[in-house]
Amino acid sequence: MSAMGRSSLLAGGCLALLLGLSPMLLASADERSGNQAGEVGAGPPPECASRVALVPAPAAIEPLQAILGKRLERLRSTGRGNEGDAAAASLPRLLLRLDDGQCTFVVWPETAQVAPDPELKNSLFVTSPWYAVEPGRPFFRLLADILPRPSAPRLADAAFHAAETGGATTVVVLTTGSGTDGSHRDMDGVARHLRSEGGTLHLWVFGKEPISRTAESELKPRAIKDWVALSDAVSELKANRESAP
Amino acid sequence: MVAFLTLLLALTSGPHPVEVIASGDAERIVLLLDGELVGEVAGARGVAIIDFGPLAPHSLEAVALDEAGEEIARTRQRVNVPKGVASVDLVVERRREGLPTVFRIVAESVWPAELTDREARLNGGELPVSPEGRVHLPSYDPQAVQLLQVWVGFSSGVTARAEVAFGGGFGEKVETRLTAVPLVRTGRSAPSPQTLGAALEEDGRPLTVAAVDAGPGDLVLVRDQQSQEVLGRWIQETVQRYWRRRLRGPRDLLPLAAGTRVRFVWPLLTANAASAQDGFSMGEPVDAGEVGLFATLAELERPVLPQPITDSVAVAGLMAAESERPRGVVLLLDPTTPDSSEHSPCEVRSYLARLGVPLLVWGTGDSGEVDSTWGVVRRLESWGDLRAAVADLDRSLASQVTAWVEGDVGVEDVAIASDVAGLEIAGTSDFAPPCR
Repeated sequence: MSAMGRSSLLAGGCLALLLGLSPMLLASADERSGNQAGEVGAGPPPECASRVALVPAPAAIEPLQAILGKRLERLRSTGRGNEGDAAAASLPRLLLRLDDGQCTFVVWPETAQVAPDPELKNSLFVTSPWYAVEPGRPFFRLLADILPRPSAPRLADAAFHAAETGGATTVVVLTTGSGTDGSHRDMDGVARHLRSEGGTLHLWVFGKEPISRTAESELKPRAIKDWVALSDAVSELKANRESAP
Repeated sequence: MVAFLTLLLALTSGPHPVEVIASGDAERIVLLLDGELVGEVAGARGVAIIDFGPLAPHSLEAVALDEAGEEIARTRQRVNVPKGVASVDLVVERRREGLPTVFRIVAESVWPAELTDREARLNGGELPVSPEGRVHLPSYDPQAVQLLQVWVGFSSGVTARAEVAFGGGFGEKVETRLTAVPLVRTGRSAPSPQTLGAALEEDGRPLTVAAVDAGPGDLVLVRDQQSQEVLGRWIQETVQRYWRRRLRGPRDLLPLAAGTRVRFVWPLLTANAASAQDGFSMGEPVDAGEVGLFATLAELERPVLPQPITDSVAVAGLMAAESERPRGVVLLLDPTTPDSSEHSPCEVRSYLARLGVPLLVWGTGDSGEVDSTWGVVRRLESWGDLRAAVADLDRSLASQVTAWVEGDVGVEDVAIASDVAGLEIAGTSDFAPPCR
């Protein structure tokens, strides 16, 4: 995993503790590998008038949660979220709400790998060459530096899956705008498909990377660099719903 | 003549088709796995389904029999042992008066790659190779030894070679090679060929030790995603602490003997090899009118996907077994990582022991128990634990020597004579009990 990936997990853990949402993050791996979004609203399945899918690129989690953490600190510093305050405990649940009946669910853009030909499986593992340990290349450096290139998340494929299998009419892809998309599908194509079905695809771009889409692209990415931009983007989701036929 | 048309280069277990071919006078071909009859083909060519059972090194023999049931020819291929990434064999396709006149080159690469080059030489003189891989021999003196050599090259850059000698006083095939047998010395002085004497046996038959080597080792590491994160964090913190205190780059952290070679195998498949299925993990819906997006987004945590950890240890073992130096495999494992392997830890542990590859399992992470069939698992909870584990690893490699034994011997078939003390085949002390 990249340094960014490591930081993401750490940032996520710290933020959850800050929020008092630790039970999920302290759950076992089996539970963690399940569906986080469902845990937040544990109970009977809600009646969903519409479904909003969140497709987060792993690299987007850290900058996203940094924005959330800053916001929470600010609220607490202004006395609205003091720890131990009963009202404060429910604060995170009340922030960035959509309309009643507007359901969110998370679709992770990564899947377990499957070898197409089990006969060849032992030749398909990612391996490094041999490295000789020497003064200029100590063992601890090899341990720290020799890492596999992370496989690209499949954002467009996951967005399509969210609409086709998950029934989402609104799909929000959270990305950093850099890196590659390992999808077979094209994001613009998925956006057109969603539009033809009466839905919309939103691209929220976190971090400092520039946004570059082709002129023909129907997608209008939103740069999310702070709380205001995030709130505006969420408001747009509500507005879309209200203007939908 | 008899030959395998199926070359088993990948890790093989369970039922598997094997194609064999023999010269025209063969009535049937029988197949023996580790000396036991496991299959039969009627006629001079056919396919038999062979059950290789759990993952283990094997010797597969094909024996061609005539009408009277007499053996005409016999060949062998070893399975689940290091062979390099390509293999080539020479099959006699035509004979005249018992002597070969046409050979066919059978080549296979583990990596998907095109066969791009074929060269053949008879007694040093170049011979043409047909597009089908046939080598037609010119007339030769049957009383003199003939040496046919072939080289093949694949588009991946991998090459392989094979030689056969025939004619003269030789049989159809002659091979001469030395086999590296990894040993662990428990005494103080390194054994020499003289002191090893008849210490090594194969099926009770003493083996001839030509030389003994000691030196830096080869190490193959397998790390899952979670243990990789833990290690990365420890190293980063330690290096930062070191820099703050000493103002110089640390060089003596986690020392291993200079010249030790390190290689990594990750429980990941290459991106272009893994098939892309839409098996995305999808969460349950939450009414965002009640629970805002803030809480949902704050709890986002990347799911831990199943990884073929145990299978990658088997591959690491095979790579380590290719080494002709002291060797070992280290598995760094977070017990909470789901494993999507086909083989069990017990099976793979037993496999490595039979290959003569010591396996060390280090457990990281704060919770969860490591599968007990991994055997002794060293728990790493701090940088200090890691440092001590690496020091023991270095000592473990230093305790090994390599004995060069004459002949093509399977390490799994080598044993220490019962009257020899202070010596064992590397990795055998880790031998797991029979797997259920």
